[in-house]
Amino acid sequence: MADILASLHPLERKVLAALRVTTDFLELQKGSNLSEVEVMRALQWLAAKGLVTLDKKEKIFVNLDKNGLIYREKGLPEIRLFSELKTGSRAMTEVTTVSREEIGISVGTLRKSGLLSMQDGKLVLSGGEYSNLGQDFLQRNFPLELDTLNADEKKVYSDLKKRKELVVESVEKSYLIEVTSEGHSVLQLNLDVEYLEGLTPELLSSGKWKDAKFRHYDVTGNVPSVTAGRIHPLTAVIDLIREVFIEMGFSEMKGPMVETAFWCMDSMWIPQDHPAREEQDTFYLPYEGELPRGGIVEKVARVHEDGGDTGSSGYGYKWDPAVARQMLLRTHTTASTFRNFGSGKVKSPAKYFYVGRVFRNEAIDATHLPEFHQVEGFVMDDGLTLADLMGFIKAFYAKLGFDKIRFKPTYNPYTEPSLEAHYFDEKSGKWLELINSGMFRPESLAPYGIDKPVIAWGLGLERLAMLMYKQGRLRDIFGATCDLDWLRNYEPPRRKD
Amino acid sequence: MVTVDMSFEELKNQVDSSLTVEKLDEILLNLGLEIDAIEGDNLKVEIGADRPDLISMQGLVRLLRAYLGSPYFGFEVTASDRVVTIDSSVKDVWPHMVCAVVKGLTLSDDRLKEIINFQEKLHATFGRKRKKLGIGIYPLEKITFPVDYLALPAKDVVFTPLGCEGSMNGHEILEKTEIGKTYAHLLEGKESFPVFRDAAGHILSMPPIVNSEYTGRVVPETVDVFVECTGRDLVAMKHTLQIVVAMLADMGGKVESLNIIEGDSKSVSPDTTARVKKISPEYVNSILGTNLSADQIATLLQRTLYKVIDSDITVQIPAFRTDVWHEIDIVDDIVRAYGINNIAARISAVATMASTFRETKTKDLVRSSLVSIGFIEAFTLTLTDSRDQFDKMNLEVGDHIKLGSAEEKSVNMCRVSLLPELLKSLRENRQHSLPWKMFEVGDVVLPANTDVLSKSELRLSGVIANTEVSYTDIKQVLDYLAKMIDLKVSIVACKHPSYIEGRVGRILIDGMEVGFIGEINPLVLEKWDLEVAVVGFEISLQQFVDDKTLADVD
Repeated sequence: MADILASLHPLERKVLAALRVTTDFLELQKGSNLSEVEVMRALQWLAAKGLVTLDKKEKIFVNLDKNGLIYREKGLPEIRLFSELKTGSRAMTEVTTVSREEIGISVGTLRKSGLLSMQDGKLVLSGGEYSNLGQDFLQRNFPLELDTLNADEKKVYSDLKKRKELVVESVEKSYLIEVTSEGHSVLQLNLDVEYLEGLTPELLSSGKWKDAKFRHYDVTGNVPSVTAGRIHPLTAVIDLIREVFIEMGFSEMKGPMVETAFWCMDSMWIPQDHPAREEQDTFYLPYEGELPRGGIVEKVARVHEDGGDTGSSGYGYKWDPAVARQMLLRTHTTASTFRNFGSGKVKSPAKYFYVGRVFRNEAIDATHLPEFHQVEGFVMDDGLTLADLMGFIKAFYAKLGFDKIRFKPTYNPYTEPSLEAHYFDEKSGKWLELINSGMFRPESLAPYGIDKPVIAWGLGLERLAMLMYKQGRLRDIFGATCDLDWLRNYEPPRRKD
Repeated sequence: MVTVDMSFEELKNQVDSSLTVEKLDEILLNLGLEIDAIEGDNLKVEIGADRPDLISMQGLVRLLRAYLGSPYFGFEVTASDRVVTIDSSVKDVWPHMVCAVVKGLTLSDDRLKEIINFQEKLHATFGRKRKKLGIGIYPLEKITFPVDYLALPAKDVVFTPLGCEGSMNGHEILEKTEIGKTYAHLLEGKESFPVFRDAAGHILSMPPIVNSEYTGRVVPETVDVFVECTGRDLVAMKHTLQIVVAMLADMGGKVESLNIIEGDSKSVSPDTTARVKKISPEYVNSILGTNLSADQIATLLQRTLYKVIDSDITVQIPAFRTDVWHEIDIVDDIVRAYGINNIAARISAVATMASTFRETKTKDLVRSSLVSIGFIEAFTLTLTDSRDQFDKMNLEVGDHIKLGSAEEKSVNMCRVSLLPELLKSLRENRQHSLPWKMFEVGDVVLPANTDVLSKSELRLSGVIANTEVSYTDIKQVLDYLAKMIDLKVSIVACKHPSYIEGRVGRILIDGMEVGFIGEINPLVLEKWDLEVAVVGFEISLQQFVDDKTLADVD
C-alpha cells in the first residue's frame, strides 16, 4: 500500500484528497483547486492504478435553432400554407402567409403527404388534415434530452432535424466516478507525505535529499519517441556493401559520371552499332570529349576491326573515332573500371570495387529513374577461373544474406563467359536475378596490356535497397522525393551473416 | 531479348516426344535461355541478342536435338550455273549482296508465317532495323537468270510493291507505302535506289525496302526459293544468309549456290569456307577451373552444334553463329553444354590489402558529425533542372553541363550546387513536423578543362528550417563540423543573391574561398513554396580530400 502512495503523482494525491469529500467531477475540480484537464489526467492515472473507476457519460440535448424559434412563434410554414389554402385554392404567387423562401419546402412537404396538387397553375388541397405533431414538438420545453423521446417523437424529430436551422444538438459530457475498495484503503492513508519529483542542485548541495523520498515512476510505461539524426537509407546500404567488399580485401576505385563513349563503350569492345548505344538508352551530351593518348585508341580500334593480336576475328568494320568522342553520362560503372585499366595503374593481383551513379535516358515513374547506382567489383590475378567468379559471387551473396544461389549463362559484349547469379526468393518461390557477371574478354583487356584473367560482377544498388527496405518505388528511396518521416524512422539494414 | 512463339507439341514432335516443360526449362537454363510463358500449347521462349540463329522454332529445335545427343551435320551446298551480277552503281547506295537458292521446300501457312516472323525479327535485331542489312525471299520460278543487282534512278524504279495495287516509282514507294515510310531514312539523300532486275527485265525488289508483288510473293505452294541479303556489313550479311538458309535446310530444302560477278572478280555464294578453331583442354580448364578431358570437351561441343573434325579438338564453327570471334566464345558454349551449376565454385586467395579513399573517410566523418547533432541526410539526384539550380536560387544562369534530349522533362543539366536540391527536399516534405535539419554530402559536376570537359567536386550543404531560426544556429553547425573534420574555417561578410543581405558570409578554409553561409533570402523561399525561415550553407570539400591516384592507394 505504501508503494502505491509513493508512486502517486502530486496531481493524483490532490484529487484523491478531494475524493474523500465528493465524487462529482465539478466538485472535484473545486476541491482539488485544479484545472479540468489536470483532474481528468489524475483520474485516468488513478483508474489505471485501479483506485477509481471512471465512466464517461454523454447526454445529447436538443435545442431550437434560429428557424425553430421563429416557427414556434409563427407556426411551421406548411401549416400556415395549409390553413391559407383551406380558405381557397390560389396560384403560388398569390400566397400571403408564407414567404418566398418558405414556399418551396411548404409545397413540397404538403405534396409529399398527398394533401396538395397543382391544377391549372393553382395550389389545390385534396382533402384530409395535416398532422400537427411537428408543431407540437416545437412547442415543448427545451432543452430536451434526446434519450427521453419516445419512438414517435424521435421520428418527428428526425424529420425536423433534416430541415434548415430548425433544431440544434448539444452534447453534455459527465463522468461517473467511483472509488474502488483499494482506493478506499488508500484514502485512509496520509496523503500529505512529501515525495520529491526531480533531484535539484539545491537538494544535492543542501543534503536535503537524504531525508526525502522520491516519487516512484511507472518504469514500464510508453514514452514519446525521439527524432534523431540519421544517415540516408541508401547510404546505409552503400556502407553495408562497402563493409562486405573491405572484408573481402577489395579497395575502392572511382571515375567520372560524365564520360566519353570511348570509355563507356569502345574501350571494352562494345561494337559501335550496339543497340545499347542508341539514344533512347543513353544520355548523350551536346559535347565532344578527348580520346586518350599513348596508343590506346589505336589498339582499341584494332581489336574492334580485326581482333589485333588477341586471336579474335574482330567485328570486321571500320572503327570511327568520331563515335568514340561523343560525350555522355556513363550508363554503367564498368566505364570507370576501364578508365582505371587505361591509366596503367591497376597491377595484378588486384581487387577493386565501386559504387557509383549511372544514368539511363528514361522518364520518371514508379520503377524508373534516369539515375541510379551500380555496384561493381573485379579481381585480377593469375589462375582465376569461372569457378572463382562463382565462388566470389557466392561469398558476396552470403554476406548480403542470400544463401540459395544458382547461375545462368548470359551474354554481355565485354565478358565471356558471362553469368547471371540468381537468388531464391522464399516469399515468391522464384529465382530472381540480382547479379550479372563475367570474365573480361581478351579483346576487352588487350589494349591495356592486361594478360591476366579478370573476373567481375555488378548489381543495382537500388534493387538491393528496395529488397532490404521492402519499398516498391524507386523515387521513395532516392532523390528529393524521399519521405522525411521514413528518413527519420527507417529500420537500418542488418547483416544476416 | 527476342521472344519466339511456337507450339510446344510441335517442338516435342521435332525434338523428343517425352520432353516435359520442366525438363525443357532446365535445359534452357543451362543453355542461357528462358521460357517466357507457356499458355496451353503456346510456348514463348526468350532468346538473347547474341543468338539470331535461335530466333525461330527451327533454330531452337536444331540446338535442342544436338544438346540431347543427335549431332548436327549441317547441310550440303550444290553448285549451280545461275549468275547474279553486282553492278558498281550500288557502291555508294547499298553496296553488298549475298544470295542462295533453296529447292524442294514443303511449305504451309504455318511455315510461311514462321519464315516471315523470323525474317522480321532478324531485321529488327541483328539487322539493326535494316540499318545493317535486309533480307529478301522470292519464288524461284518467277525469276529468269542471270539477275542484276544494280542502282537505278529512283524515278525509273517502277514496279508493284508487295501487297499494293498498281505500279509506283521509287519515290512514290517511299512516300506512299507504309513499309516505304518506315524505312525511307535508309535511302535518304540517294538519287538512285538499289534493285534486283532479272533477265526478263522484271524488277524483283527494291532492297532493303520491299519486294515486287509479281516476283516477290512466296505462297504456301512455293517449292523453290531465291534468298538474298543486301546491306552495308558483309560479315553480318554472310552470317544472316547462313541463318536463313540453315532454317530452310532444316525444313527439308536442298541448298544450291550461285555465281556472283562483281566487276572483274567472281565468287560463289553462299560462302562455304569453314571457320575452324583448335581448342586445347588446358585452355578450357584454365578458364573454367574444371578438369575436362579432350573426349568430354569434344562431346560437349557437339551438343552445342559444333562439328568436331579431329581428336585434337579441331572444331568447325557453325556458319550461322554470329557470336564466335575467339576461342573464349567456344569455351562459353562448353559451359552451356556442361551446365554452369555443375562447376564447383571456389575462391582462390588473391593477396591484396583493402583500402578506401580519403574522400570516403571524410564523407563518413561529415555524416557521423552532422547526424550526431540531429541532421537527416538527403540523397538527391545529379540530374536536375536549370530553373531549380539558378532561377529559384535568385541566380543568373551559370556554366553547367547540359543534357542533350532527355526523356524525363524535369531534368536538363547536371547539378552545380547541392543547396537547391536540399530546398527541394524540404518542399517535398512540407507536411512533416518542424524543425527540418537536413544535409547532403556528394558530388556536383562543374565544367573544367579535362578530357570530359568537366570534373566532379565534393560538396557539403546543410540547412535548418524552423519557425524561429537564425544565422547563429547554422554557424554553430559549421563551427562544430570544422572542429570534427579538422579544418580551419573563417567567415567574411559578403553579398549573395540567395541569402538575406547582411546575413551572409563567404566561408574560407585555410584562406581559400570554399562556399557561403547565411539566412536564405525570402525571395528564394517564396520560389520554393516554403513558408518557414531557412538557414544554410554549402562548401566545397574537394581540395581537402583529393586522393592519391588509384595506384598509390594499394
